[in-house]
Parts: sequence; structure tokens; C-alpha cells
Amino acid sequence: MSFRFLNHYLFSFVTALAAMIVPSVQAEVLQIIDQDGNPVANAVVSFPSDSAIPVPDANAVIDQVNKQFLPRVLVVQKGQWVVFPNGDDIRHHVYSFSDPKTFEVRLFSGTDSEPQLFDQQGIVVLGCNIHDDMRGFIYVAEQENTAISDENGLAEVAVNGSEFHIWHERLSASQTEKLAMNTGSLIDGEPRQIRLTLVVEALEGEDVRTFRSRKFGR
Amino acid sequence: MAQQSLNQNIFRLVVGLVLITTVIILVNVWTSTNNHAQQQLNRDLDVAESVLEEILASREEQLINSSLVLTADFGFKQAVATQDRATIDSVLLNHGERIDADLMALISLEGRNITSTPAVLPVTELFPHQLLIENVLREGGASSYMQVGSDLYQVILLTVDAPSPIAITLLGFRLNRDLLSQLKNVTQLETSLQTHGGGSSPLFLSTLPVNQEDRIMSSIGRRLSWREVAFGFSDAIVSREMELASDHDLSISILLTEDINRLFNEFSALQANVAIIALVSVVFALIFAALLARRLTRPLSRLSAVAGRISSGNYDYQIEHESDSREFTNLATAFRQMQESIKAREERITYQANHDAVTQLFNRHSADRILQERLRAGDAFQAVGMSILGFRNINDVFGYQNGDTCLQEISRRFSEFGGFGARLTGGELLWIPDEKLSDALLVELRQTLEQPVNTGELVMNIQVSLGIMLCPQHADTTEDLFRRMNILLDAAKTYPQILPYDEELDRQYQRRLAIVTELEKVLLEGKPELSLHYQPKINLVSGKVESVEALLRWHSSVLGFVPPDEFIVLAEHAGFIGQVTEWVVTQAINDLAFFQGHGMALAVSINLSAQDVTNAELLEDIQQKLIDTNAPQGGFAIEITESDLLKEPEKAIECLIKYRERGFEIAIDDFGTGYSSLAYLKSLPVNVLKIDKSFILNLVQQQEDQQIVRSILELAKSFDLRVVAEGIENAETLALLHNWGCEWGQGYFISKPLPAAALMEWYEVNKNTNWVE
Repeated sequence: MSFRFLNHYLFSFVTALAAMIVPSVQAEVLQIIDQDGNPVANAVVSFPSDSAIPVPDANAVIDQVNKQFLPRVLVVQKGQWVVFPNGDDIRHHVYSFSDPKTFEVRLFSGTDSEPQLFDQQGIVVLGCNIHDDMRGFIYVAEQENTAISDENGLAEVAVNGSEFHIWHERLSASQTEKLAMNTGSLIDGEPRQIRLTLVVEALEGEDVRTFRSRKFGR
Repeated sequence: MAQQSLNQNIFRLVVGLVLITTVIILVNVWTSTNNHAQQQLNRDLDVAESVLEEILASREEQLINSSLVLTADFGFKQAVATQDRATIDSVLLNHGERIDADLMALISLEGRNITSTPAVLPVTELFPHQLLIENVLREGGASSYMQVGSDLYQVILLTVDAPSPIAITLLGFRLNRDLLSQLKNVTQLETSLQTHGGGSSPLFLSTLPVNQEDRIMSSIGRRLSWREVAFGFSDAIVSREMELASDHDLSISILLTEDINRLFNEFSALQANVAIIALVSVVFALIFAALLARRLTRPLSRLSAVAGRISSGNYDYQIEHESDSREFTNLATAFRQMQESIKAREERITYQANHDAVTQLFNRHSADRILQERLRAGDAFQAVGMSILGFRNINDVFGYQNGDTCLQEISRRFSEFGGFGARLTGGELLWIPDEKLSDALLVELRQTLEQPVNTGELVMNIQVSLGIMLCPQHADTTEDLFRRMNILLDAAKTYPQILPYDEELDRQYQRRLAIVTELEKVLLEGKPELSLHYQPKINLVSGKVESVEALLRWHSSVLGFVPPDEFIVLAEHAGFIGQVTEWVVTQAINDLAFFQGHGMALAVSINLSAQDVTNAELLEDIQQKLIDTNAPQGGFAIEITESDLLKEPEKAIECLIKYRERGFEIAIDDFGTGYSSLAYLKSLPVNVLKIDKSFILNLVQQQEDQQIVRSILELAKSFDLRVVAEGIENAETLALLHNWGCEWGQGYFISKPLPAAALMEWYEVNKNTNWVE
């Protein structure tokens, strides 16, 4: 158990280290807000990278804790392996029908599963066939510098050029659409802000989509 | 306004009240049941609408749940994720059958049809209702209705979450007549479904025949008018429209249709019952009203008939009262009492009208009627008229009370003999004895009647004259009877006697009547029938004619010569002696003036009655006429008879003094017949005494007359009066009188009375004759 945690932190450290060793680009903190001006967390900001980004050897990890994927959003480099340890003492049946990676793994309590290779760039939506409310996203990056916004919507990213992409689960119904943006559309300030238009209702815990939550009538 | 009978009024009142009450009840029942029916109808529809909503909601929920379960199926998701048409079609078919969906389809998140089974949605084309897609993407799913061709589906659209939406599935459940029939089974109402818009042709489904669409549509929300409720429904349905959905231009309504007749039939039965009860009660009311009215009015009609009989004077009808109502019995009793009192009063009034109040005998009017009847019937009877002599004096002396007592006593006396008694006037009574009385019995009757009347306080002596007539010999009508009896009693009242009727009496009466009538006519019309004759008087001292006495003569064209004694008296009684005197005065004064104008120095004297003398205007008239004609005042003289003068001496003397004061010569005519006392003679303002001709006519032969005449002459001398002797018919008498110193003479020996013209001739011849030589 402790070993698994160690693995995880090690991976994080390596990733961070990798980001720091790219000297030609300037890292900048950007804030991502929605149409209402609220900070947006778990958004992935992606600028193209001039240099190749090495695929980490270590497996990336998405745990299942309290019937949630942890982390909810994970960025991996194309060709990276991801393991799904089961932190809960219940079963999970993790699956994905997304184009970059279609798979299903049955997770039993306390047993490791086979790592999954993510060798296609794109967004992979993770679900659990047993627990409909479990939702996780793996951002498979290719030659790009990415950053995930924290709960304040802040993301420190190496800005390179004017073209960049941003992804958030609420940007499209399919949740797999990336939005191409230009730095010109950034809102000046300290930090500079990216304003998103979220089209899908937030999914926090239970499914709040009104149609499915209703009991009777319309 | 025409009057109506009480019968009618009662009938109308009762029937009217019942009718009004009935109509009010009927209207009330009718309106309240109809209102109730209307409310019931609305309530039925409300309930049905609620139930239907509930059913549809429940059904939708069920469909949604089924659909949710279906789309959550991992195999389904897996199949969808393969994006393989054949696989997807098979899974749609397979899973659709699981929940009996009639239409299954898969639509991309961009809203393009992926596939459908049955294949009604064109592949890769945009789903027809993009708004629905937006709703699905936003809310995870949608429930709606959709018309595809001629089929209407209830559709549930859900995202296929794997775990984020990868596509949209559509599950459609057809809405068809079977569903409507099920609904109808629940609501018991005819149910229809109608769509508009949605890019498809309108659709109409119904449990009723589809061709009823227009009828159903026109009955939506219909209020029932009272006319329809009363006279039947033009269309016996009412419908309610409830909107099922109006998404994406497609508007779907459910129509609930209630059969009004079903609802109203119960109430109609109630209304009919009430109406029948009302009708029956009206009929009973009619019968009751008729009976009541008859019962009330029959005694009234009977009493009204009785009143009619009473008013026509029939009081003998027995008034019965068989009504059991106290008021009518009282009324009948009152009628009976009224009838009796009217009868009694009328008898009393009739009696009073027919009888004299004092004597209780019949009065003249009823006697007239009764005797006329008897005469007409050919009855013969004796009529005894009775006249109480001096009845007026009895009243004056003893008072009316005793006068009445006197009349009553006399009536009682002859009434004891039976017969028919009546009071004619004042103290005149008429008695028709049952049998004709002989003369002896009449005498006896008169004696009986003349018994003194004793009132207890005083005793009255009575004298009665009887007039006896026989009918119909003396009078065949009551008018004649009363008139002739009046004449008879008039003739009989100078002294107590029994005077049988004589036709002469009537003739005299008729003559008197004719004289009065004619004389009045003569005076009024100025007919030249009256004339003055003048008899000369000789002055025995000078032997010459110095004056004349004017004597009135009447030659009537109708009655011939009428002696002045006769008509003067009648004129006095008839009250126009004043006019006669006036005529005489005028004529005499005119003649006097004429004589004077023709050189005849004659004084004219006229005869005046005491009545004339007391007429103050006459003196002034004479004076005025003398002045007007320019005749000498000393040439006019008056003569008044002694007996006339003695009737009211004081007044006559008083008036005569005025004549004397004017210088007129006054002579006492017929002196010696009136028993005038010397005391009167002394006070009389006269100049001349005219010795009555009864003393002169046989003067030569009668020694007594000679003594009387000589005494009168002596008396006159001592009173300084001149004397005129009338009735000188021969020379011896004239000579005798001349010798005795009589100053004036008059008589046929000298001249009879002559008309004025003749007098003038006579005067021409004799004006120089000396009669005493």
C-alpha cells in the first residue's frame, strides 16, 4: 500500500521536474473563469511544445476513492501507462468507450489490475458500470505543455505562441471536445484570465440533470 | 273595469296562488336541477381531466423509467459505442421489444439521425425537432410527443452515457385508439386526441367515430343555455379540451366529451315527477277553488235575490239560511230583520201617506184614489160632507190642540157607524156611509155630531152643516165630487143645515166663475163692455139738475147684462175690485171733464166701497186725474153705503176724513138700512145722507116711511147734513119731499140712469126745467 503511494508521488515529482527543464518557454499563471466569472477547476490548458516531451516511464495512477476517480482529471503523455488501483473496498468496473482508448477493467477490492496503455492523443472519459456517478477524464497529451487548474481556477503553464487549447468536461456534451483559443482572447490582468462558456451543467456528486432526477411529471 | 263575480274572484285567487306557487317550485326545481346538472357536468369533466392527467403522468413516468433502465444497460451502451449500424439496429430492435416501444432511434449529439427502427427517420438527416435535442443535452433526457407521418408517438429521448453522452436514443410509444379506449374506461368519457402543427398534417383520434370531429370541436366549453335545457339539446355533448403538449410547434390536445343526456336524464325524471305533482295539485286546487267559491257565493246569491225581492216591495219571502258559516247565518238574520223593519216602516209610511195625521181618517189624496176606484167600478154611494161651522174660530179661541180634539171627536162619532171617512180640509170632512142614510137618519147624525165636545177642561159647542150628494148621479168622478162638495158645503156653511145637492148650486157656481173670469178679461184686455150710466139728481131747492150719480153697467158679450150687485161682490171676493174702481174713477173723471167742457155744470159722484176708501193710493189717484183732466175738484163726490161703512167704522172714518180734508163731498148711501147709531153719525165725516130707496118708493102710501124720512130729515138738519132721496118715482113723492125740505131728489120720475151721450141729450132738454114747480 505504502509503495503504491510512493510510486504516485514519484511520478508527480518527475513530471514537475520535466516541466522545469524546458528553458525556452516562460511559465505563467493563468486563471480560468466561466461565463459568470467563477473560477473553473479541473480545466486543462495546453500550449504546443517546441521540444519533444518524453513519455514518463512510470505509470500514471487514477485511484478509486469513495466511489470517485482520484484525481478526476489526469494528464498523461501519449504512450504512457495508467494503472487503476482500487482504493475502495468495493468493486468497480471501469470502462471507456472513448475513441483514444476503449477498455474495461474489473477492479476488485485490494487487487491490482493490469495497467492500460494510452497511445492515442485525445480525451478519454472514464466511467464505472456499477456506479453511474463515477466520472473521470484522462487527457492524453502529445507534444504539449499542459496544466490543470486548481480550485481557484489557477493553472501555471508554459506559454508558447499564441495558439493554445483548453479542455473542460463541461465545454461539450460529449465532454471530449477541446477548445482552440488564441492568447489574444485572454483577459488582461494579474493573472491573465481565460473565460470559458460552459454548456453542460456541473456534475457534482449526484446527477443533477433535471430530466433524470425527476420523479413524476414534467 | 268590468266587475267580476265573487265566485270568479275566489276561483282566480286560489287557482292563481296555487299556480304561482307551483310555477315557482317548478322553476326552482328546474333551475336548481339544471344548475346541478351543469355543475355535475363540470365536476365530471374536472375529475376526468385530473384523472387523465394523473394517468398520463403515471404512464410517462413508467415509460421514462423503462427507458432509463434500458439505456443504462451496459450492453446497450457498448453496442451504441461500436457505431456499427447493423449492431446498433439490432440492439435497438432487441431492447425496444423489451419495453414494447413502437419506435426506437439513435441520434447523434449533433442532432442527426443515426438510425431508427422502424426506419421512419431518414439516416444522417437532422432530427426534426432540434429543440428537443438541446433539451436532452442540457437535461439528460426529454419526454415529448412527436408525429411521424400519421402516427403520433409519445417519445422519451435519453442520452446514452458512456459515461458521458455519446448519442441520444429515442424511444417512441404510439398513441392510438387503444390508449384512448383505455382512458375512456377509466374516465367513462368519450376521449379524443387532436394534433396541430409540428410540420405534419393534423391528426384526430377518438373513441367516437372520427367523422364526429367537428361536432366534438364545436362542443368544447359549451355552456348550456336554458333554452336547450328546456327544449332539448341541439347537440347533446359537451367537451373539455386539455392540452397535452405544445412542444416544438406540435400542439396536442385531449378532448373529453360528456354525453349530456346521460347526465340530464336523471334530473329530467325528477323534474317530470315534480311537474306531475304540481299538475295534480293544480287540478286539486281548481276543484277545491270551484267548490269553495260555490260554497261561499251560493248563500250570497240567494241573499242578493232576497234583497232584490225586498227592493221590489215583496217582504213576505221567508229567508232561509242553511249555510254552516256563522257569518252567512248572521247576514241572513240581519236580512230577515231588515225585511221585517222595512215592511213595518213601509206600512207606517204608507199609512201616513194615506191618512190624515189628526183624525186618522183617509186624506183627500187617498180618498180621491179610493173613491175613483169605486166610481170606476160602478159603485153607487151617498157622500156626506160635513163642515164644522166656524172651525177657524174654534182654533182661534180654543187653540189648535182643541181644534184637533174637536175634529177627532167628530171623526170618531161618525166612524162608529162604519163607512169610509176622509178629511177634505180644515174643518171639512167627508163620510161615505155603508148604506144610504134617510133624511131622518141624517138629522139624527147631525144631532149626534153636534153634541158638545168635552175635553175635560172645557166644553165646546159645535155646529155642523151637512152636504149630501149621491154618486154617481151628482158626480161621477172624484174631481167633480170634491169640487161640488166644496160648493155645497160653502153654500151650507152660513148656518147649520142639511143641504142636499142641487144642480142649481153648481150652475150658480159656474156663473160666478164665468163672471169673475169674464170681468177679469174685460179689465185686462180693455174690452168696451163696461160703461157708466148717470142718473141725475135734482136740487129740490132750486129745482135744477146739478149733479149725477155714476152707476156701473156691464154688458158682457158672453153673459149678457150682468147686474153690478152680482159682479161687484164677486170682484171684491176675487180681489180685483181695485181695478174696477180704478176704471170707474178714470171714466167718471173723464166724463166729468167732458160734461164741464160741454157746458154741463154737473157734479159727478161715484160709489166706493169701504175697501176702496181705505186704499190710500186711490185718493191720490183721483186727485191726480182731476188735475190732469182739468176737471173741477168740487164736481167730484163719493158715495159709500152705510152697511159697508159699518163693517170697519174706525178705519173707514179715518180714511174718509182725508177725503173730506181734500174737499170732496161724501154721501152715505142706503142710509137707514144699516142700523147706524147716532153716535157714529155724529163722528162720520160726511156731508150728505142718501135715504135708502126702500123708504121712498112707497112714501106716499106708507105712513111709517113718511115718519122715518121726516125723522131722517130732522136728524140731518140738526147734524147739518144735506139729504138726498133716492127712488122718486112720481111727482107726489117729489112734492112731498120738497115740502119736507129734502134738498136733493133722484129717481126714475126724474130720469133713469143714462149713458153719457143720452144724458147730454136729456140735459139739453131738461136743463131749464124746474122740477119743483
